[in-house]
Amino acid sequence: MRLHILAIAAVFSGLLALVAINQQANAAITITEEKIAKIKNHCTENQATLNRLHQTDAFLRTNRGELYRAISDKLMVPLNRRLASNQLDAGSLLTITADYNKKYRVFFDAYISYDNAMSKLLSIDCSRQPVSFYNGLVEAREQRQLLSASNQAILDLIRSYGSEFELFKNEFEAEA
Amino acid sequence: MIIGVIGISLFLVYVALSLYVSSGTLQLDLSRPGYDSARKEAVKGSEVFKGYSEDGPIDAQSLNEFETLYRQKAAEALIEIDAFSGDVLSDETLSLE
Repeated sequence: MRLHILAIAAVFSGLLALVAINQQANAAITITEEKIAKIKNHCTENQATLNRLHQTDAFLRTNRGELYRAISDKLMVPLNRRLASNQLDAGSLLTITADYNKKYRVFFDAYISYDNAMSKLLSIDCSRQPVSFYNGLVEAREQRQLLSASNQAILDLIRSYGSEFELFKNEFEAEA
Repeated sequence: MIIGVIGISLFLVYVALSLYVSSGTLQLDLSRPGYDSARKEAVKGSEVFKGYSEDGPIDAQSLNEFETLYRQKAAEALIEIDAFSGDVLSDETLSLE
């Protein structure tokens, strides 16, 4: 009897899961006729806009990447080493630097995913495949949000390191 | 012999291209076709930043030097606070609302 109940429960759960998955899949491709018409009407201008954005982002990513690496490799790490070689405790600065490098890796990977999503989106003909185009747009939007979040995390750590350095400097000057 | 050499070259090219794609260099390569404007912008701002020396004593002067350099770079980083914001891909921006 128990086995029967368990089996029925398992089948019921499986069906519920299937319905949920199906609903999600439908949600991803359900686009109103009105939206399809707008995608087709603005196809050329949106393709041009997205192409420009793709180029601007590539420059922005290179620019940001160089700046973020410079902050870590040419400022944070040298200061931490200099403090260590002078037998000064810089534990919190070291922790922030380690977090910063981890977040930079997240940013690095997030940009690759975003760029792949954008390349995929740009390869879709929006006048012939408006639904695929919109799904690609939604995917690119999500990837861009992740990228933006990873970028913000790096900026927060830049602020934290600056504040922590100020604290260290004030303590050092007070002791001197 | 020639076929063997061609085979090895093709294999090495395949390995090189695989590394180019898998390492993420592809996404950062502004020399790709279609990235002319980005390339020109990148050249404009190319200057060498020497950074902070990891050797030397820690005193008020060296800490002030670091502070100046860090503030300069942090200001550059924090100036574009909305980099990669999601608005540019919104339905509204693309006239799809």
